[in-house]
Amino acid sequence: MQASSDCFHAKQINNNFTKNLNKQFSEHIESCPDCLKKIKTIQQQKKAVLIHLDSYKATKEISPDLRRELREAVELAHPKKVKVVKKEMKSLGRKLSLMNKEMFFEILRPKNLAMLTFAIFFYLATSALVNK
Amino acid sequence: MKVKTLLDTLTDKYFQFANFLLEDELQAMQLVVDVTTALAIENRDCLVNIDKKPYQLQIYQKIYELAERRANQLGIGELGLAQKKYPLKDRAVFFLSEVGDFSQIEIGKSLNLSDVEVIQAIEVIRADILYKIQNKDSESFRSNSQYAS
Repeated sequence: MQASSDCFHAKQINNNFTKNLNKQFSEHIESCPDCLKKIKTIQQQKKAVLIHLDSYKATKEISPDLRRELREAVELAHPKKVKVVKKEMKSLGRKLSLMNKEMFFEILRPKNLAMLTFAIFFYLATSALVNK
Repeated sequence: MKVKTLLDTLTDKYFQFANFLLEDELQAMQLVVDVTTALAIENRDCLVNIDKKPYQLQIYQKIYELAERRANQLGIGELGLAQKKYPLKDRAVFFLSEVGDFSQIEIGKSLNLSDVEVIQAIEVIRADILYKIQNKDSESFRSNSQYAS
């Protein structure tokens, strides 16, 4: 797959040629068939290598399992904030409704009813005295 | 970063790296899951900034380190890699250079290798892969021409 060439620059071109390319060299490459051929060969080789490496990607059979396990791994350490907020709100709501019920039953106690009646009479009596 | 994007990247790139190192899908899967769990607990920044190069290199490094330990524990290092000819480090270097698109200096620093060792690893494995591809192509060409005749 190696391109044989007579050009001195073509022999210098390697897999990292784009990283070390200077301006003078790039002007020469554009007009030199040997260099262009060498670059084309290197590009083809790179493409072939990448295609070969693609065979190591997750297959369709393994991909769903891998995603599921990765999701669990990510969420295990850091559960979603929304879930946490929802849970907190639920428990707060439950506490509030319990408090309401307790308050209602607390008022119905005889001792509290007597206190409430006394307070109402006291208010009525004082307001009547003030308005006289 | 969205969870979906994170999972896509981990499933796509990092599994490919782990699988290239160990050449065993199940081991590679376990490796990526273990590294993700460890990062989620110890170093969440890596996962949040998975699209940034320095963090990517850290994740690759973690996968490589764990792969090396697993390979030694499971005997993959002795059995598998003897057949595969090149050490785990060289495979990591090659992948990071070709797929990860990291510079030779970055790879050398993260894996504690000299420039010469990095270049050598890349060239040796590339030549071997190209040789295999060429052989495969000529074999398939031969079998096709046999069917044709």
